Amino acid sequence: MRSDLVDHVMTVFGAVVRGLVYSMLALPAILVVASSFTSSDTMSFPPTGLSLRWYKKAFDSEVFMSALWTSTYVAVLVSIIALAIGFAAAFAINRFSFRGKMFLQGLAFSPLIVPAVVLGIGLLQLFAWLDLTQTIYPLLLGHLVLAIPYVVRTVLASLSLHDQMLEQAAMNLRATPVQVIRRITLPLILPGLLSAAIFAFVTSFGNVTVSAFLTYGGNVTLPVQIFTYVNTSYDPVAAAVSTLMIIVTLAVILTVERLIGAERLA
Amino acid sequence: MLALLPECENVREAGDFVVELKSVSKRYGEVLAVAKVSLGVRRGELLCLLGPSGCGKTTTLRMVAGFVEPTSGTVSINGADMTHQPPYRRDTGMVFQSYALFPHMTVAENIAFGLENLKWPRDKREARVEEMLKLVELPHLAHRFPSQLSGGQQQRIALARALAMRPAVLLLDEPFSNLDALLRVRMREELREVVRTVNVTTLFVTHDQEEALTMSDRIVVMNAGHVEQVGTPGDIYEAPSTPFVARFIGWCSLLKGMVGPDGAFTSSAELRLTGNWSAGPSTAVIRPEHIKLSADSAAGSSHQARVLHAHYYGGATRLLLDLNGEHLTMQERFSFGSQPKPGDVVDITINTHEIRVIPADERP
Amino acid sequence: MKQSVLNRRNVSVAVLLAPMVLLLTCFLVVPVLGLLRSSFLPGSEFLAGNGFSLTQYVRFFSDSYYSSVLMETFVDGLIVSVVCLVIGFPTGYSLARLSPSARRWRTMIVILPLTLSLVVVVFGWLIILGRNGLINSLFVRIGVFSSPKTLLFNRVAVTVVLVQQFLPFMILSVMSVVTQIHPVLEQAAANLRANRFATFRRVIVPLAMPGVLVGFNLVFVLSISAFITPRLIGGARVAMLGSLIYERIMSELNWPSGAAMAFVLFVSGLGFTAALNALAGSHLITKGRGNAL
Repeated sequence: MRSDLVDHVMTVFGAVVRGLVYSMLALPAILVVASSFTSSDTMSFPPTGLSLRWYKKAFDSEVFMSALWTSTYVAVLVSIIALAIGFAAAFAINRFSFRGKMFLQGLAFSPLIVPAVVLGIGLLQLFAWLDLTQTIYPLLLGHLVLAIPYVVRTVLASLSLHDQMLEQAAMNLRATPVQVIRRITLPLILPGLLSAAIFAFVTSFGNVTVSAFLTYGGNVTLPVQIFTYVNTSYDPVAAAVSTLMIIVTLAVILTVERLIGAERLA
Repeated sequence: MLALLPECENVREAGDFVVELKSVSKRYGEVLAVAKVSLGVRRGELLCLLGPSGCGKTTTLRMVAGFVEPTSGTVSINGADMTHQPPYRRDTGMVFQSYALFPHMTVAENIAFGLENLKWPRDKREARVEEMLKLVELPHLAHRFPSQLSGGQQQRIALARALAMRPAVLLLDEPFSNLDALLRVRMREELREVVRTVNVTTLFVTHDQEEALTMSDRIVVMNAGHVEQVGTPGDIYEAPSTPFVARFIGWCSLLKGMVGPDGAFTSSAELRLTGNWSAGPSTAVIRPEHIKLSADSAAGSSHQARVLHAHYYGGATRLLLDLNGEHLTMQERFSFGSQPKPGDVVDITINTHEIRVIPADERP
Repeated sequence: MKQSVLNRRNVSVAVLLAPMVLLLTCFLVVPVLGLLRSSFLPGSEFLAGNGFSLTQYVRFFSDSYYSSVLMETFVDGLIVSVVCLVIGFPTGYSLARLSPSARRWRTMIVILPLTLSLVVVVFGWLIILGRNGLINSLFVRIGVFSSPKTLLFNRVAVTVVLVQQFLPFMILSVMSVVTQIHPVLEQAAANLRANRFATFRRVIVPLAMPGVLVGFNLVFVLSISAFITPRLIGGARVAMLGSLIYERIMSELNWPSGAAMAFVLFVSGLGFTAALNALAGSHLITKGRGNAL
């Protein structure tokens, strides 16, 4: 009798918590999208009226559009370079045995354990010392460092998921190592590689905690622009710009979900 | 002419190994996976590496294919030293345990893959793919993907892919282990048929003694990294040279004991078997078929044994007997209802001409 | 022959790894070490400064304001981690046990806040908690509040938002470890007369411990170094170490002081991880056993 009650309580508690969790996780993004269509001059919820005026204002805004451009430009570069660097490293880690392998794997994941403020200030200081704060390099290199763990992890996962027997079979069928990579390995891990590049893209595109320290001069990314904007004013143009970011992110999630399944995103 | 023939044959055989391993060892850290294995695969024969899991048979096969580099010793294929050559420079065709068909290529593309790497022209390639598909009787599956095939079909395609290149030696790594029992028996026959048709030298790895006995021309029994015995299936079954081989192939009872100066064997429990064996500590191998129920209890060579267990197997009943404290297994067909029960005493005859007595193992 | 093959192999490993090692050395290790160096500068100048002293650290630890901020940051981090654990565990567990099709959209909801830029998520919370926001207008309409209240700029709001931000890490850690616990173990427990709570306590929790610890640790370390959320949601009234550091560097331009504070933060995070690992030593052994199945 008592254990029936315990089972019941756990079922109800679980259901309530899950409902709460999913709505809590989804709510902020939903509200941002909903309030971006308001026609009033101030942020309020529920939104009053329906208009696209804030989108127009966002697209007309020099600061936001140049920030969007900077963000996209940096994110595309980061995803290409991080994929090349991360793939090479992951391939070596997965396919060769060498001394210090554990250490290198640890190094690849170390950007995850360094707090963003520490990395941000450290990079800011380094580039100030090199007198390069006015360039795009601080953002680019900082984001590359942040993207490496995600790329290495995704590529490692897809390399280890695919059957190395296939490569041996190809070698038995007289394919040289280069042919094996080109005709067997790459085609089979292509979804993993694409996902890794997309991870690098979102990591860079959405980052604010490190970027906030690296946006001296004219190179401000969109999230940092939203941060400074929201810090001082409170109008729906930020909602419109944020909605653009949500759309990009959602598109990315859906693509990766198609490619490798959403669970492996995390 | 006739008198010379056996000698000629020996010479031919010695020089005609397609694959030859000389004193090959493989060490993984502290573990010696393969210990000084020497063996040769003769042209056109089907040689089987048989042994329990972990005996080094797969490692040996992979050293032939080039996926594992020996720690010492040499591997040669068609007389050329291949010990340190990469897999893609070796004239072998391998069927993997998991088949390893490329999932992103069709059946035809899989079969053509090796031919492309060998730079065959397109028309010859296509003809060869067609020929191979016909050989394995699956011409209608050319444009399917591996995931759309059944296990048996995948296995046949893997075989076709390996044979398409006309390799000097076909390597098979437990090719039937992923199939169910019925299909396994059918595929075994089909494979034997295909191998005979194309007359390819074959090296085959299995842990299944029935597979080895029915398919091979010769069997290499391996245990703990070394070769226990090499011989025809008949040699291996009828004349095991070590207790391990006797126990691994077929049912048997092993009795430890001593052969006296008179050539008779006495087990440690004082069971005496008369014969003409060479003196010294020995092990007697008694298979179920060496023991018969004797109709006449007065016959000189018969013994009285007590039944410990009786297991009914449908066609026959296997009896575990106690004979002077030694445990023996025999098999007999009893008419319905007449089956002995545990505790019964039966009269048995041991056919001492057929049983084998192996001198005690002197290997350290 | 063999020697040259080995050498070629070593060369290719080195070539493949060199770009990553170079990148992370120059732009992760060097900056962190540089930061460590400047935290020992005596003055408030970085480029022009020189000398070596513990001034910044002494100042930080002797000022009761900083120690109270440090303490509050820690307490906040712990609260966020515990809340994430309590609500994240059931969610992660149920996700792991769902059919792939049912899991699909739920996983996407969990992943969205992770991939979405932090500022956008925080901005969403401003809309929820603002004076004209969702909660105020809802509660005024149904009569809970007589007039809109200030829901922002307090510690509770910051904690709630931090929980939402870092919850996905906990959910996903729990989910990945529960996926590896074979459901047959739960059936076995039920067959051995364990009710759901007993199964949960004696089978699931011990086996899921490694994932729980990873998630807990991650959430704690992320929470104590947060600065965007405290600044936007907490404003000037809620001081957390992260926002203090941001302030110190970006507004006051006092780098040595900011560097010292950043290091205190970094080392506390590492210390917490180490302490958790030490505490969990026995549990991680259980994990090895669980994986055998």
